[in-house]
Amino acid sequence: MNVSLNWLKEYVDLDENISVKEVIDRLTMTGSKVEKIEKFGEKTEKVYTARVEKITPHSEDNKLFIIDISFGDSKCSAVAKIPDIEVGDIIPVALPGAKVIGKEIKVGEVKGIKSSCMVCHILDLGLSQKDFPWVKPSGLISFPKDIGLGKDINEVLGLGDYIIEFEITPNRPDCLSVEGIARELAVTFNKPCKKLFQDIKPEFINVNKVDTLDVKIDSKNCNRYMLSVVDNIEVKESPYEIQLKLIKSGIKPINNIVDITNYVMLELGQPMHAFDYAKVNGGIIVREAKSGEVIETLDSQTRKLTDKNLVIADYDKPIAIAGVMGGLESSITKNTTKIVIESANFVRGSIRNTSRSQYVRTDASAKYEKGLAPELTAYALNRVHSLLRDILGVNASAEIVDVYPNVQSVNTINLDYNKINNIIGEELDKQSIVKILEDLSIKVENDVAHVPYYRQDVEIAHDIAEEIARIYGYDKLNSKLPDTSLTFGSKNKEQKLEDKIKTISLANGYSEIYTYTFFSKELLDRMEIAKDSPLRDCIKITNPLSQEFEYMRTTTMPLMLEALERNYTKKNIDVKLFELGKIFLGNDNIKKGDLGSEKQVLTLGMYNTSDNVDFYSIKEVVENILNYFKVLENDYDIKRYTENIVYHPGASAKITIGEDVIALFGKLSPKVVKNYILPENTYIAEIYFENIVKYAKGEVKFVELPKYPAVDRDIAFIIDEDVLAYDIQKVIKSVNPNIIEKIELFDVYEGEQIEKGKKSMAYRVKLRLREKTLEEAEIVSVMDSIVSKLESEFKVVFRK
Amino acid sequence: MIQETLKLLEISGAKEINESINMEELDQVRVKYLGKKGELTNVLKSLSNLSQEQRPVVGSLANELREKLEDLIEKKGHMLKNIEIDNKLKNEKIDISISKNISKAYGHSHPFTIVLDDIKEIFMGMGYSIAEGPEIEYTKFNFDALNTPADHPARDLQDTLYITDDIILRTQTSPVQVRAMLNGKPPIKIIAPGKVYRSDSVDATHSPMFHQIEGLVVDKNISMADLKGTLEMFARSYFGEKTNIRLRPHHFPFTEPSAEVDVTCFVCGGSGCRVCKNEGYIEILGAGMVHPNVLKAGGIDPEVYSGFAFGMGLERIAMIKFDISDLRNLYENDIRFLEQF
Repeated sequence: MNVSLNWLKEYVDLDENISVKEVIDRLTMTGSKVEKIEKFGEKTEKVYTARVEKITPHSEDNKLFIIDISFGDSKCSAVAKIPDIEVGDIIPVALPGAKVIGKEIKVGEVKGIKSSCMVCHILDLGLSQKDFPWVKPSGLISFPKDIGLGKDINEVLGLGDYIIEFEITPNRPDCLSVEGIARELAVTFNKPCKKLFQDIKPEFINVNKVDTLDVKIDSKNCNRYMLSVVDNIEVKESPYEIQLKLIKSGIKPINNIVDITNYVMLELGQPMHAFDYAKVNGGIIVREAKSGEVIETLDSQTRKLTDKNLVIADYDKPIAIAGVMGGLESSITKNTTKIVIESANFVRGSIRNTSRSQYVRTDASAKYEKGLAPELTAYALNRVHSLLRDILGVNASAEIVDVYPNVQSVNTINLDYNKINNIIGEELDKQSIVKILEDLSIKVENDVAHVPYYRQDVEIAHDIAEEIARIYGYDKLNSKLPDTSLTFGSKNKEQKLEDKIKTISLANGYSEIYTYTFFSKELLDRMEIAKDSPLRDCIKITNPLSQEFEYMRTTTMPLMLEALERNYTKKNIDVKLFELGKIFLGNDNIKKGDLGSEKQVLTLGMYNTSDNVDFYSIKEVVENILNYFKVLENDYDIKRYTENIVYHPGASAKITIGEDVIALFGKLSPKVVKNYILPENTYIAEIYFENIVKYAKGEVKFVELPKYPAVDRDIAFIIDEDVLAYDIQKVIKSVNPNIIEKIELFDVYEGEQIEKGKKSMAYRVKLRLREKTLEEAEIVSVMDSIVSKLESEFKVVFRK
Repeated sequence: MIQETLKLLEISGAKEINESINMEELDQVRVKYLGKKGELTNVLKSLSNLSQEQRPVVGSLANELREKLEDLIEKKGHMLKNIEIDNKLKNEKIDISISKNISKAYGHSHPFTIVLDDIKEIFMGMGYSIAEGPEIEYTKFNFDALNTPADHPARDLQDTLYITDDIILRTQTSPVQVRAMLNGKPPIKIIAPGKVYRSDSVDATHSPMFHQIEGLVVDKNISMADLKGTLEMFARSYFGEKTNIRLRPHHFPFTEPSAEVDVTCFVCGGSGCRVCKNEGYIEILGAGMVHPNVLKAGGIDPEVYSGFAFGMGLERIAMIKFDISDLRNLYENDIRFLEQF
């Protein structure tokens, strides 16, 4: 919403010494936020409007002309390049001593001919060609004729005016108008406001037909449709004051009728439309378009309509897209002599949808989208009539058609002054509260607030409280801490464990990443995920921004791999990343109308361009994390992990407790590596956080330190290479868990001197009894049992 | 006679100990005097030849001498050891300016986590708990319960990402407010951080997924003064003691009255600089008194209780705090970016 400060000043007498900065700061603090201000032109001195009386070519230079100029009561002449100025044009002329854009103008001789004044260019006024329609291609100006002669340019153009762009919140469509802002300005500065047309109640006579036209509303999306017919119209240029205000508001003047409708839209915030009466057949029907109907709109676009688009139709066809844009055929032309004026109110959602589906947003649709007051249409129609009378001298009949199916209710609110004070935390007296409300045109009678029709947003005590608070000043409100009963601020178990799992990941050298939680299925293809994998049963977004963000992720791994790849392509060496983030499962639930299931996963990813990392580097981290939460080796099973193509089948593992998967980790499969720009040495892990929460041990009970010495015995053997150390250890431990305290693998060897398919392993077994010192016989017995058990279970060969 | 010998032994022993230049020599001296066949030992052995009267006198003199020599040897020995170590130390000099850490010992937290942890700590100190809710959410919690009617533009397909007609990717963390009210009783004091989603294309300041932190307090007699005081406390704790806040009237469907909240620029203190674009203030959050319709939807009687709520964007706070001008940095996860935090 762009408003000229000069226009606002027509309503409110601001003190001379109030700067524009103060105006915008204080308006912002009462809720009319200023987005931007721009200066309209630069003040000049001694520049006046004048008429070109005569143009004579210069005898020595064919590009120069001698122009005789009249200010009405005086004359002068100038020598200038004026490629496109004609006799009769009204132009800005600077007299000797004039100042434009801060510089003094000097006049003198040009190629032997005396110049007594200077023709001003658009740039001399501090304006640019693009937002000023009264300009010729050369940049020279030709004003509308009614601007008059000998007028000070500053006054007629309001040079140095400010154009203020307001950000109007959606609850305040009344402020999408000059009058709305003017009312706010007056209240903000505690000044009286000139009588507003928004407050002048019209007196119409409602009839079924004006002239030959009737109105039928055949849609739930039209709240009100008012129509009048005005004859004896002469279509021509608008008075320059009207045009200037449109220009400053960013609207291009067209002709007097269109300009008047646009002017009223700016002034009162109600979009208006005028049709050529001769082009309207029979009457007006407000209805949804029939699928396939077509209309050529004012912007010369032929638009296909759908049954979701509300249109204004005559008996034959659509003549306008309701609330968005008029049709070209029924528009006002030079030949129009009789007009139909529409002042209507539509359901905001309908206009918004049509505007979006037709890819066109107009000043009118932007206003309708916000939800205008249906009552406003009458005030605005009345204002159009008054302007037609003032400008064209035509009298519109008081007889109009007004079809008003959804009559707007008027809000009244019982005022509870205590409640208002309790909401805003103040102790304002009744008089102060009533004063603010009255200033806002909210009438108070017997402690009941009567809200004006254009403030549909004020419905309950809280709304009144906001009005009081913002005008009293948010900055003046009290400030204290709540004196609620004591609450204990804390994190729950999951939240604490989340913090810890992040800390341990950091402590292991991994840096934290955040990735998008949606992805495309192409990322699953890239990871070679099978077509029938449950990972492909993703929750789908019906209106994704793009294919890239179409599905909720069922795995974090593609995002991790992309992050690793991005680092690798940027030549970052030795990268270790982790993310604690959600995966989204339960697509079946969604189909049943329930929410999905969101699970946290800790994802680790790492590559190193040197050779000093291997499977055990990622295993160590996983173990460190599980150890921290006291999910210990004795509690879980570790197995080779071959079911997932993403993981290298020979160097990947799965840790489970019962049916619950705790962690997957290992080397990224070469089958996947080949689809990425990543080194062979890439390792990944997924740790299922909910199972960490499930199995993490919270309370610890201290176990007395052993009093009796331990004995270490080593055993070494040759065994099939496929046997996992974990399984060997389980067997050893099972021999006598009471005595076998610890089993430590200190050597594994495959290669020369060992038969192919076999490996050599050496363990140190720590033996101890809690009750007494072990005797040699006991030690020997345990070790012998270990040997025989290993021989029977795994057919190992012992090395002596 | 024996006394004479002892005197001589004392002089020569002390001299030899003193002249020893290393541990071996010192040890030889010890053996020479105090060893099994040492000179002093021999004296002690010859005591039996003395008379009954002389024996104790000479014996005690001899023992005195032994202690004296032992003491001298120990002191000298200590000295010689230190000299030896000093000599060794001279050969153990290395270039301490070289760094050889092959692997990074400690990872770096993402800026989001750093900001979030600080904010959580401030509010937990004020008695707030941390609440969470699903990211795939019902429209009834994300919109209806938050006083956002069916025809509200925020619900348009152009703004909200839909899973079904009734299920969406939450567009704000505010539905957690509703869940917290339905699941708890006043006094309620929570903050709710989390991911939210909107149909915005990726650019320097927009992302279809981003993060918010929501706050909610519901109790008896909660007013705008409490909101203002709480946000002041937060702003001062987070941005520095001298920070002031400014509330400007605004509109949100779920609060009334509503405000946008600015803090004085923590870089220039309000005088205007590049960070605050010469405004002196930086907009950081939206806030207001919980709309009675929202309390009702949360099962709380608005005639008895009132509350305030606030919400801020984590991206925005992180970008301001760390002077990050392009939001995309936060999602690219370049290790060179992460390692700066």
